[in-house]
Amino acid sequence: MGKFLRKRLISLLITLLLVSLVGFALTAYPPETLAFDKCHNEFGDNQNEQKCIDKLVAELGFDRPLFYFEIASLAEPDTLYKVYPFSLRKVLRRHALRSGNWEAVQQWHLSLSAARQALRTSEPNPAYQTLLGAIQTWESSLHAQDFEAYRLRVIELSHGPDIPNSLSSLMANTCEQGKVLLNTRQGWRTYVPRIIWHGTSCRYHQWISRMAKGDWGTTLNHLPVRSEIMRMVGNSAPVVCLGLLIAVVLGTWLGVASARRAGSAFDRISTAGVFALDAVPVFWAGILLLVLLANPKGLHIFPIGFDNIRTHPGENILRWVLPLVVYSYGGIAIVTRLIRLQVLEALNQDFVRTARAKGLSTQAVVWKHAFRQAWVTLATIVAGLIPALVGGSIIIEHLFTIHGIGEGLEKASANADTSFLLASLTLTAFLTAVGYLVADLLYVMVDPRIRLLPTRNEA
Amino acid sequence: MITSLHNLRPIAGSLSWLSLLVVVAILAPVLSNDQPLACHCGETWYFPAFSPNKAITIANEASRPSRDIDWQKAPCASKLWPLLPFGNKSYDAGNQQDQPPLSRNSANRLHLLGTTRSSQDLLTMLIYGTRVSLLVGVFTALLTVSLGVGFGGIAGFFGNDRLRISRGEVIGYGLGLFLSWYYFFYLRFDALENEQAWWLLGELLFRLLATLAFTGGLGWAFGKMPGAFFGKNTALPLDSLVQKMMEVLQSIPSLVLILTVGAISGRNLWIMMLMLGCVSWVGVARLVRADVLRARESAYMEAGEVMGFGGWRLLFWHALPNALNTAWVALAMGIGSAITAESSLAFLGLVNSGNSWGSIFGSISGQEIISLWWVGVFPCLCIFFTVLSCNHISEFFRNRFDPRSGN
Repeated sequence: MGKFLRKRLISLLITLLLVSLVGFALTAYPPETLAFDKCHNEFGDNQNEQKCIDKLVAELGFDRPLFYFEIASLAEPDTLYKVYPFSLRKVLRRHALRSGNWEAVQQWHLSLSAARQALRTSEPNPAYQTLLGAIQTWESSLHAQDFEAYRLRVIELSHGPDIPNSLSSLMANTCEQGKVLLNTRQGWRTYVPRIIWHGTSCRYHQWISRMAKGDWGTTLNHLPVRSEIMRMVGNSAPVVCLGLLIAVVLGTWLGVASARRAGSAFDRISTAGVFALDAVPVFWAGILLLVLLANPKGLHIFPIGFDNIRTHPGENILRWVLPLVVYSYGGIAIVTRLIRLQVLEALNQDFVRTARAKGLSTQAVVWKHAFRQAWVTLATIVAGLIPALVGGSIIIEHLFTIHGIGEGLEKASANADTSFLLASLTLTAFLTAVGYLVADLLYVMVDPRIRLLPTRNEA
Repeated sequence: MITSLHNLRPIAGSLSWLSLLVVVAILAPVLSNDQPLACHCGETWYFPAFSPNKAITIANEASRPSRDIDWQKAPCASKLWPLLPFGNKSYDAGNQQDQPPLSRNSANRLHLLGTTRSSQDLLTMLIYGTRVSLLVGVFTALLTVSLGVGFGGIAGFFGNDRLRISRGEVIGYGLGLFLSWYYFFYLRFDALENEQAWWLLGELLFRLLATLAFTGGLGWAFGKMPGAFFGKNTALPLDSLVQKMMEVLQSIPSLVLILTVGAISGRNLWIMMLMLGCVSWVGVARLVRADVLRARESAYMEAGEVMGFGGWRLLFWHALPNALNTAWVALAMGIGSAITAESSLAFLGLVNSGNSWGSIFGSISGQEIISLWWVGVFPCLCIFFTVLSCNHISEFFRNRFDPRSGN
């Protein structure tokens, strides 16, 4: 058992590591417009806005390398990751890969930025706008031909009548640098791959070590993710746990009852009912119940809203009814079907016949012998339902205005709040993996025939 | 598998509902359109519903694409209208918003199921929504089943030690994959942006083929290398790899994953379908793996091996057909669950899927549902019956193939 447990725990760790890698990779490059928009809304003027963006970028770690190492081309510089926004990083990488000469790209882009800054800070002028547009297209032009064409266009525009001499000379410098960039290409460097070692200052390391220490990051609203998730889970947990309990108890009872009377009218009705329940989308069931039973204009039996669920849990018991019904009906369907099959199969087996022949009562046979296998099924179902504890209640919380984790996820998804999403993804995966481990252990305990470790010849 | 149509009688209802949906999805522009099917204007016959982009000149007006013409007022002698003379996307001039079922618009045309908040005919939207919902269901289910059969089949057939290749080949394939990634994907990372869909697809296909050829060539070349070091045989632990992948995918909560990817990628329907397919193949793969493992032990497989059949031939012609039943069951089940998942996300506004059934329903708020009940009830009935039919069919096949599990 000890060896099995150790092996299983190592496997669990590897799984969690892989999950964290997948989640991290998916959220590595969130849309950067979000940070810009947020800072733009918070601060009107340019200077504070830039400060806010810089702060946010440092907070989210966007100016750090992504992973411990990076496979890059010889043409790329080591520290391209310091460039923000991501779109600019991409443009620079593109130019570096095209020309192979990073020094020239850097010189050109620095002088281009200086010229653009000068254009932006001077008073608005339609000629400047045209020039800025031309610079923009030049900056992102892909091929050597286009690059030269746009360069000539910028030269032409910068000698226009509305452009003062100081700006013209700045632009001339930039264009000269652009020419240098074109003439000093070292294309071969692009085709040589290399590995850049970043070490532990990378984003992934920072994130995962903080995560392990219990610091789960901050949301876009500068609140700690940990306390936010805890608060939301606290709001969801009572409904979710009760719903799960109801689903398991009712489902088990229904499953066993119909398995014992297999083929009877009761069995057929319950099977058909469970089957139909399985096909009802949660949102439809929720809305239907809301319209029928919580309708201010019609039958208003059940009030809605869970603002004070934790402070006054028993104050209004009626508030619990509809969410619990909607929460548990899907689970009832699943549990009933699986338990029915499980018990039906067990009832036809020899050891049950033996137990019956020994004169045990039907109750004892069903619950002590036939149901033994079903415990494993139940454990697996509950482990599989753990993701639902965190994520599956989104629609229910949306409908019944419960301020729980589902609502939090919905909002985080709408705002692209990656730290919140990533933390909940990892935590749920952790809970699920642990749940499956427990189910496996139960499996071993319930069924003595199971071999703990596969033998060599077994695939 | 299906011996005769007569055997399918228990699921006749479900099959006919699904067939009806397919027919409706295909015939949507003919069933419901704001342009006549045929009309006789001046001296010529036009068929605007079938060629909405064709430029037409009628009654001394400038030539315009036929979809821009107000056909209700057009001076044509005889017009043959579709069953439902309402547009899918365009605004119908005579309609009013929030009309209950069986009301009429100002042009005295019957709204069988009423109109929506945006003054569109509900039945028309349902008919066009069939296309989106069926597409989501079928595409996602096909992806799920093919991934599941592929991974499950490989894991079950080859196990951990049945696919043996030489060390030289391992090195060659690894090197080939790395170099292909670097030259065909990394260095050309920006060539896939801002392009047409067909161009993108072609480019991707080309790169994949190039990767395949390059990797294969390198693997072959290294496999031919002389010497004991390159010649040593090693077993690929395919089963362990697939099992690990399944474990990882099983631990990741699929809904949270889809929400995360949706937030990053801007709620694209295609990306959502891809994600749905990529996370839900695990269940299928587990069943297929068990099927193939069982087949692997059978006598005919041994006979095949004795006769000298290659591994791939045994896999495709002798092992995988055993998993066909599982695949059919999973396909039927997958269509239903994909439609449910898509409508749930569309209901929450977390995916942009045009007008699928879920998004019609999600276009009104929870409070409005009381006064606009028809907008809620009819799309949901469509979803309900479709999911029920899919579940029914899959349950039927499961019982048929595995009588032990049934009644």
